[in-house]
Amino acid sequence: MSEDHAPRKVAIICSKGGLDEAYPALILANAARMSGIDAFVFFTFYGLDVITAAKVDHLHVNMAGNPSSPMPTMIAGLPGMERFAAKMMRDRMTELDLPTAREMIEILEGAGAQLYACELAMTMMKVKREELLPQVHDVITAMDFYELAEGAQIIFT
Amino acid sequence: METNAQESASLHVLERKVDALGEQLALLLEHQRRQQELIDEVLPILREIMRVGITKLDALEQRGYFAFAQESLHLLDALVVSTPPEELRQLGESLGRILRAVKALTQPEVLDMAAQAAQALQHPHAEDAPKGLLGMLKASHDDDVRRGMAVMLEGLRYLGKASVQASAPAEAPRAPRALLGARRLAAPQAAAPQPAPPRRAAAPPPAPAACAAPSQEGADPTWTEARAEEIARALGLGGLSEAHWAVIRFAREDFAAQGRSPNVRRLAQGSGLPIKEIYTLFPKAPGVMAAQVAGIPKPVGCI
Repeated sequence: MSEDHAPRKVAIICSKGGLDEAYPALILANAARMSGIDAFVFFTFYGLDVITAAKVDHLHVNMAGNPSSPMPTMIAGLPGMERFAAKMMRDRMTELDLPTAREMIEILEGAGAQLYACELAMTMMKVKREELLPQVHDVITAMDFYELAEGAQIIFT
Repeated sequence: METNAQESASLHVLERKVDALGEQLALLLEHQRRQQELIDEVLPILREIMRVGITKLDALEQRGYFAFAQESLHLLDALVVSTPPEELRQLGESLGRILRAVKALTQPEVLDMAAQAAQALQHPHAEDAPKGLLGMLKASHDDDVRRGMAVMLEGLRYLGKASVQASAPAEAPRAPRALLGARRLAAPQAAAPQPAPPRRAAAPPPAPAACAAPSQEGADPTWTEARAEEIARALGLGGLSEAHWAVIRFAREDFAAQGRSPNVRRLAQGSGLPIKEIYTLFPKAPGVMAAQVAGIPKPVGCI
């Protein structure tokens, strides 16, 4: 936080749309802002779900193939299981008064962290600009990302 | 003449004494003869007794009684050496329970059961032994196996209950204990399971501050509003506005109420300002800055 140096900066890439995969990116970005570090988040591939208005409230947790999951993979693969796991996790988060993903996005915007969507991923997933949350700052390409990330520490999640 | 009379008198006395001596000698001889007779008669009997006694003792020896006694002595010695007095006292206290348990164990039906179980152990029907998990499941259809399982489960239940009682803290020190391990557990009881100490000294009600542990430091007791202005100037905030004060007051109140400093989100919720406004009022780490100005510890947590 010393004023003598250039301000510290982080660039976070969020490439996955699971509930458990989105939170690390969101929390890291917010923590950076709370610590006085400039932060921006680049949402690409399934990470786009986190900033898609219709999907941000329905992020799921995939327990299948997750060795840390308390559920055997055979059972975790049954229909409805990821919805169930997501509900469990969401309930626990509510219990702890953790903000929802949508709320986290709002907090990030308030905190001055910038959110970017990946242009290529949007084309591939057929996501339109108006489907994204209003907090999204811009739609950028990978090259734009590097330009923005100049002098930043890059975190891939 | 006179001397003659004297001599005859003393001779007479002497004669009488010799007579008495002879009588005594005869008496003595008679005694000795009787004793000899007695010895002659008793000796064979004594011999017989000795012979029988030796045979008996020899028989005992051959059956191992003496070796047993000797070993028992060693055992007793070892027991005495290795048993401190207080343990002996405890043993005495639990003697009644031990006897009850032994009595219960030696009921004929229990012994029968044990004998049967032992027989089963000695002659297992290897060909009948269940194989694998499915075999186990199949075997559990057998009524006898089921009953046995029920008995074992019941036993386990008692064992579990008893172990809980045995390890319970000293509120009920005379509570009936299990046979197994109870005495062993009795001694270190005082040092054993202390109730877990409270996680923090002043545990506040569960504040809705996610993954944030309460701060361990307290508020600055020397804090005044003037001091807040000074800190704000030092941090480069300039003068404190009414909005600043709303945040600072809430931070102090919340810290006093919850025992932990509010994070940015909570500051926004509590002061009614949007998060963006908080970041404008306290640019650069608003949670930390607001806490510094409010004279409370830095907030901890991830949100």
